[in-house]
Amino acid sequence: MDSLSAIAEELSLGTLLAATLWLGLAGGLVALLRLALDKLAQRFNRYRLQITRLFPLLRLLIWTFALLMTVFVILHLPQSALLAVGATVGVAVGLAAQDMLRNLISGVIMLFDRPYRVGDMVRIGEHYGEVKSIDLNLTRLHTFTDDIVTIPNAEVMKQAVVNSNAGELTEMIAVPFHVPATTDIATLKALAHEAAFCSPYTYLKMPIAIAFEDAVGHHYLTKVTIKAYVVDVRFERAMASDIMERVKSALLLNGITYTG
Amino acid sequence: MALESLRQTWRNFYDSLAKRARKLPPVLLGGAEKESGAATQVQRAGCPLADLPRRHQVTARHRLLPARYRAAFDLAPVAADTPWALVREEKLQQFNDAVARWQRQLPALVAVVGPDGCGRTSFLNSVEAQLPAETPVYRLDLTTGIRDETALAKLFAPLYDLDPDATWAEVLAQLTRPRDQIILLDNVEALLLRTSGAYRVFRTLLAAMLTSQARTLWVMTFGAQAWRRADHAYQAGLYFSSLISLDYFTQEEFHTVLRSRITHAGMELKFPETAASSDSEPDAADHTPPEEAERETAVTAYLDKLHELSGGNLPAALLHWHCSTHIDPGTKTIEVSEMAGVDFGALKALAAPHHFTLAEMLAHGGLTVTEHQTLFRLSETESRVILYHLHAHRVVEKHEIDEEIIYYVDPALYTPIANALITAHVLY
Repeated sequence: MDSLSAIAEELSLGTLLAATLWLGLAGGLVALLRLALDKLAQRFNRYRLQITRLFPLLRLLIWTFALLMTVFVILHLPQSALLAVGATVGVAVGLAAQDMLRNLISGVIMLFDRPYRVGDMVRIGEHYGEVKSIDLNLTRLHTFTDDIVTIPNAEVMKQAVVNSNAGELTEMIAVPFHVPATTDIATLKALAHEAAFCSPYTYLKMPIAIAFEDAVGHHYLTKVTIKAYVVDVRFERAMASDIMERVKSALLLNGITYTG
Repeated sequence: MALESLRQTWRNFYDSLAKRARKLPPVLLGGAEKESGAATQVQRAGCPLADLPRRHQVTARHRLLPARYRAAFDLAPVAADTPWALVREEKLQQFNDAVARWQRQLPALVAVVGPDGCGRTSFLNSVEAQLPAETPVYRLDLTTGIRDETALAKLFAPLYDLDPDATWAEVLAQLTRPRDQIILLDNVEALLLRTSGAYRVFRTLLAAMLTSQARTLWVMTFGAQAWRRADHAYQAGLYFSSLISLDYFTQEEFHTVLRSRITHAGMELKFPETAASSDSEPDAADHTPPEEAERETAVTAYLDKLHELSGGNLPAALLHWHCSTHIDPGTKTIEVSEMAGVDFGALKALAAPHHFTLAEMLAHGGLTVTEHQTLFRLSETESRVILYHLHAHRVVEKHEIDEEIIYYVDPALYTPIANALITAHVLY
């Protein structure tokens, strides 16, 4: 109680206004920073991932600095009172908002541990998409069905995360398809390789690989998997669909049955 | 006090940034530095890309000018015996070393690589002129895409007086005959189209080259982007024993070439009063008349500016030249006016389909509507819309070969377009 009254004595309308203004300024700075980084990323697509991944860390730094300035410089609260109130409020908030705290702590850990970064293509649980933002408590994914999936950070930390490009702009794409087991392998290999090479989305700096496996459906089949790198993760689906289109046309042209 | 030191730090930081920005080539800034007395100001608003004269317009204007001027300022590659052809001694020596190697029957595949507009064809002309006379030399200039082995055979058949319907096996038999021969192939990018069938064409040719290289000297010119593609897709770098890299002209080379062209045009450069005025005092030891020295300074300044704007890319420089000069055949003078840079802002407004189209054009040398359609699996209308849009904004040019319209990137615009595509991560 004494601590609270000590704090109340230090506060005045002027200091409260200044603190609000200061925090508002920090919020404005964060918004401006996001805008500027988005513009930069748009303009320099090649460095998009490096630019966008700066934001979560810079935002944390700005808010931490703004809060410390507010408490210790603008409001200038007595430290003993602050410790006493902090401990009481901490216990109360900790009990009432355990999940939120867990998410926050996970968010901070993720900023440094980095299982993924903004712009990466990841699979978290059943969701696959591009990481749009990593907030302190939430991660947002943009899926190929144009949905935004919001996942609490604590949930992310509890499960396996598959990161397809790990901070790179390129990513390996696998395009599988089946043909009857009697199909000539050499012809298939040439057609599949050519289909991947001809796609304008294929990153030719990296090798194209064709893998074969036996498979059984209604008949004996050969499963062919084309593995090639896409020039930019954003064209992942476009490339897979483009290669598939080319494969189907080539198979049709060569009289080979496509079996799915 | 602390505030003042903070302000000073900011001022220093700002000045150093401004200094660095001034060092960037104006071509990249999209504007040109405009000299006005001692003060230098950056002219941000350059000529919009869409307003640049097209090649056919330049050519049409050109036709009305005196023959000597026309010859000296033609946009086409130059023949080896042309007085203003630049002799690239070091590169020619590199080529002669490759020939000597081949004469010792060592493998010698030669690739001449350089960005569009750097003078690959002119270099090939100079190479051709100094080849041993006793050896048969065959030259092929590829202008349209080769999409299968039949087309490849058709291309080589006339060299050996074969029937136009000759098969590749028949051509190969001629290529691998045990006799010395030299084959020059210009614009090999035409073999590197990214469509079904075309992928096998370069591999087929590469195999033939490797088989015949002991007795046949192969010399091929590649655009820089086409070479990268050949290296990524076919590991061409492993097989070519000699790689001659050409680049845009240095300032010195640029001055030599342009001065030679001006001299051979038989005309005199005339500068406006402000541009011709010079602040430098005449050297006491120099006996050149002051007027002559002043004119010389103005010519040097003009050529420096031209080099700065074009980055040494001769087609770009000639485009600036044509935009900033007025020819008076009566007085035999070339009146020079102020030059502005080009505003490449339009490149930023292009979308992904345009970027991919331009990347393929740079890698392949040019695209027809049909090739674009096959490459991107689009309908004819969709392909036309993309190509027309690029053409309307002067990002690409078109020309007609064998009743086919080919869209291509003007070599004069190679650097800004390639830079835009690299930034968009479509070129690599």
